[in-house]
Amino acid sequence: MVNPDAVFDSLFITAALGKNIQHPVVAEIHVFAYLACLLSLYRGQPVAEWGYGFAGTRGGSPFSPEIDEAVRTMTALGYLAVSDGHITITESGRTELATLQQFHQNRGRVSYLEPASSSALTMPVGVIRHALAQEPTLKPTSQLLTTRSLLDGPYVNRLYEQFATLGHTVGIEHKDLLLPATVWLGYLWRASEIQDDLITARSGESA
Amino acid sequence: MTIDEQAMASVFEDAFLPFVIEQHGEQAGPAIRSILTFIRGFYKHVSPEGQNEKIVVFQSLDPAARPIGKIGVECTSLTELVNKVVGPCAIQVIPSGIFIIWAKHSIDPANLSANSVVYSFHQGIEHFHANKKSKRVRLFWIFRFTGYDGGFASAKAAYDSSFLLTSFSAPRRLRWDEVGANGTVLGTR
Repeated sequence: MVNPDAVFDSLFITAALGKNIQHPVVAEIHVFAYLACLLSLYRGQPVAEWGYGFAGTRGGSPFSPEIDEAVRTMTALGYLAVSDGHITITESGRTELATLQQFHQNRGRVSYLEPASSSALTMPVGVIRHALAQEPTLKPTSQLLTTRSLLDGPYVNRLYEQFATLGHTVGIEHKDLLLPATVWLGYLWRASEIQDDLITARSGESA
Repeated sequence: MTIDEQAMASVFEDAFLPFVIEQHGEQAGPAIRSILTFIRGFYKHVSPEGQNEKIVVFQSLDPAARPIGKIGVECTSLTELVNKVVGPCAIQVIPSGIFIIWAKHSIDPANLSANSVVYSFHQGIEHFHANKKSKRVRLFWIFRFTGYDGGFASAKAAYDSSFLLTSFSAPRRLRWDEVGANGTVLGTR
């Protein structure tokens, strides 16, 4: 059975990205679903309540089998259309999304999905993808060139430490999660640049 | 990775979004989204390099407010609006989806920003204005493009975000056709 949360998230994110960026690709549905999940953790929601899981790929990207299945199923039903890797929502998909948005459980998810998708208005998608790859639980997958389940294990504590600092920096009173999302992604990007500079400096010293 | 609190605070200080929220409160969230969405579409039609006059884009916190007394031209689509961009312009983005443009009309964004979220573009520099204060748009990833050492992925990322590239001086604006087939960026600055 297709995961209902993943179905709703896939439709919502595809519709939102269609407005916010040009030609979203299927992999970006996974990226923004993962970002939305992380925002729910930032808000204090337990990982298990998200409804489906993610794995980190060797390339350092998040991947959800449930999102993958939902996208395939929605495409087969004509709610989503995939062409040359680009994904769009169809008119029947929008109608289905409007129906699903009326469900109480989905209204709660919108408070995470919307700011995650809107972060694409504040910075390029390529920057978001790169920044998210530096996130403490995802980063080891690309460093170790392995595929592993995300949001469990020893790295999760580091994620929560970052979120604690983030809350302290931006103030935890904000209802709109676009603000912490933007600052956190910016921080991850900047941290990766500082690290790149250090690596460059070290390789220069050893040369 | 240890947490660099100073780096996070620095991002917070540099970013325009916290500035606008700080000035106008969370009620500014929808207006920021509307303006960013508008700008993204606008620069697909209007080349910032060819724009020498000031462009001011705003959305009032009260959707019914019309803070410019002079009568403007209502447009229902971007394609209709961009044909009317002449000289300095003010553009009000209405939440219902229509736009009002005042062409050949210079306006002080600071005054407008008392009750609106305002974006301005002038001589290659972008600002957000709120509550009579302004913040220059600075890109935390701009360093990545300096010297075009960021590679293909960053180049594509830059291309995808046309409006933020207007912060670059004209000759440095990255173009898709400057990306070589081998994945390296061949463009000039």
